[in-house]
Amino acid sequence: MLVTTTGRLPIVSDGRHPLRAAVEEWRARVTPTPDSAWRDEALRAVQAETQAELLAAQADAGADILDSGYVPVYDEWFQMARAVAGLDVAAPLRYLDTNTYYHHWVLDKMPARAAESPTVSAYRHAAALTAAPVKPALFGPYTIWAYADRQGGGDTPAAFSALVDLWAEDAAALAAAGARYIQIEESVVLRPKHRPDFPLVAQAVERIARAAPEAKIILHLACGEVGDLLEPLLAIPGLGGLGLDFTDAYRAPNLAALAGWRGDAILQAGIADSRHIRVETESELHETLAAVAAAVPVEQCWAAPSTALLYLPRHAAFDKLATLARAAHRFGKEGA
Amino acid sequence: MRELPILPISSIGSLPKPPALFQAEMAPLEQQDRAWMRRSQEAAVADWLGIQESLGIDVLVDGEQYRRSMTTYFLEGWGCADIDPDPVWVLDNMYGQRAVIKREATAPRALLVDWYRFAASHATREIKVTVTGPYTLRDWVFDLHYADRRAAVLGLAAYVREEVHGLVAAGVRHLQIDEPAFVTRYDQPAELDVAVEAMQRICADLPPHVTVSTHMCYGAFHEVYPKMLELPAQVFCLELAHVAPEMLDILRRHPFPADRAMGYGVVDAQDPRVESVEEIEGRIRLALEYFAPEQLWINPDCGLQAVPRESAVAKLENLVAATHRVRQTLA
Repeated sequence: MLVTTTGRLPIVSDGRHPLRAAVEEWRARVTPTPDSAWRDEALRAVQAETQAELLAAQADAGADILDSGYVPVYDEWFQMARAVAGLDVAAPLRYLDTNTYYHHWVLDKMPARAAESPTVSAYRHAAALTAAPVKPALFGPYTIWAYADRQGGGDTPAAFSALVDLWAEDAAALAAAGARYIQIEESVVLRPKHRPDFPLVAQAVERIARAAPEAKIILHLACGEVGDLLEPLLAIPGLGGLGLDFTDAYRAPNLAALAGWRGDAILQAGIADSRHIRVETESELHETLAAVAAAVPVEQCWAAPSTALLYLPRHAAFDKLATLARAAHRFGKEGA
Repeated sequence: MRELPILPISSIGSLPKPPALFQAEMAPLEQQDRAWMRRSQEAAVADWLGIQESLGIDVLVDGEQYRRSMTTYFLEGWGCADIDPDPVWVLDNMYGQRAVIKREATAPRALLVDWYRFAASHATREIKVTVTGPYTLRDWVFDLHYADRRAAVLGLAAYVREEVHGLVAAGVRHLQIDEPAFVTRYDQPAELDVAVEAMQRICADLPPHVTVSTHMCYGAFHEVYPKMLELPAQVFCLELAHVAPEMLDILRRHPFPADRAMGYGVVDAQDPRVESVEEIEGRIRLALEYFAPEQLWINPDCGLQAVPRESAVAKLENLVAATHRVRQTLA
């Protein structure tokens, strides 16, 4: 059984990290604007070193499929916006129920590509640093759309479609650069308010998958119950895998939903709680894996944290990942 | 006691700390020079009280100069939590220390009384004391002690109640119970009900001369309005400088009740750019389209700790000037 991470990772240990210090140094040295961050060679060098460190840390913990380890100066939404022509970002908004904040987009016109996405260059750098497969993780176009301040021409079906085009271009570029797995994070669609928009997510994933046929597109949905969306999710043409959350309050309903699993998509099973500091025991993880494997062929299952480990202190995040890897590898060898 | 003018002006909570104090408080509590810290914190509180008074703020805050964060200060101070050594990413390049609740409180729930007395002795205007609400105290930390979230929130509510009632006994007339996490699980009604029940327990039996405010920020307020009105607060201090059209729309459909007040946020607490007087005046005039003047307070979006000191002062200065302009036209 393969073990993967599910997005961005924490970096700071005991209050310190070279990237944190470099950003502070940069803020003191220049007028801190997104453009100056984007162009600053010193910052980019530390970001590259950080990637190497995080790739090694994931491998040391036992992960088989790695996140690229890219850490933006601001946040991922902000970073993606820099590659879109004439796009402004606005004040940070709280993401889901986390105590973390992302700058939301101001969509007031049709979005169009301005530059290569930083996700692509980050993937290239990561792939050059490790022989292990790297799975770049992107927030999906629906999440950006759902949180955006949409106005005028930016609040139209055509604008959403143009947004999906950008993600499809990124996916194609990632696949051309060698990515065999691409994670698209759209957890927000599991929220009751957003569930009616599921067709937008399905349409986006289908088009992204079509643009990158060499790669498996893993749609990751954390912090929610999949419920009656499982069947239409698995019916999305080109879907390579589905990430679900089997922790906390979502464990029982999502395990129950697996009775409807069909097809050959990967199940990226989020069994280690990325929102709780307590490190699960191997036997607890084993029990959840057994329940998952009762419904989905074990060769289709990856073991994963429930969502990005970013939301945990660094020591807890990597302890969890190491425990998860031990439990999953043992399960893969010995079975239930 | 000084009568508050129409459109009373208040600060929200945190204000920028002197760099030396900010650096020093990052060390573990047991490694800190407590006497130096106390002197520095008192000097910083007195400084900000003086600045706010000189600018013309009507209801002052102490700027939370002695709190490392709005959650750890209480949980660590009550002895029920330890601070995890690895801070967690919050936004941009900002990382926050996270408390881990591990036990029942072991210290008195009376952290703020001395600070209130200190502030009151250094100000001639009203002081508003800010307390983090129990729902946020639970939501923004890790919990290894309580059986479930409800038990944690209600357990912490009992501690907050002790703080609050101690403050009232010491003479506090303006309280702000911060619940920014109230906007995070808007589609889980049971969660909102727990937050409401917790604040009701805290505020039960408070004397009528005490004005209770609550504060929320960086969330989809329209998703919790009018539900938020179940919170037993008289003033709702919200981050509205960039008010979402959805919020204005729902205010049109569900007008704010006449017996409540809105603490309308008119300056951005994250952006160091200083809004002009005209820009802020425009935001106040927009607010007056939805609220009667007598139910409107004017405040920043949130605590101004994230912007440089000079930006914070200039923002408050322009906020006061803009409010005075609008007051003149209302007179």
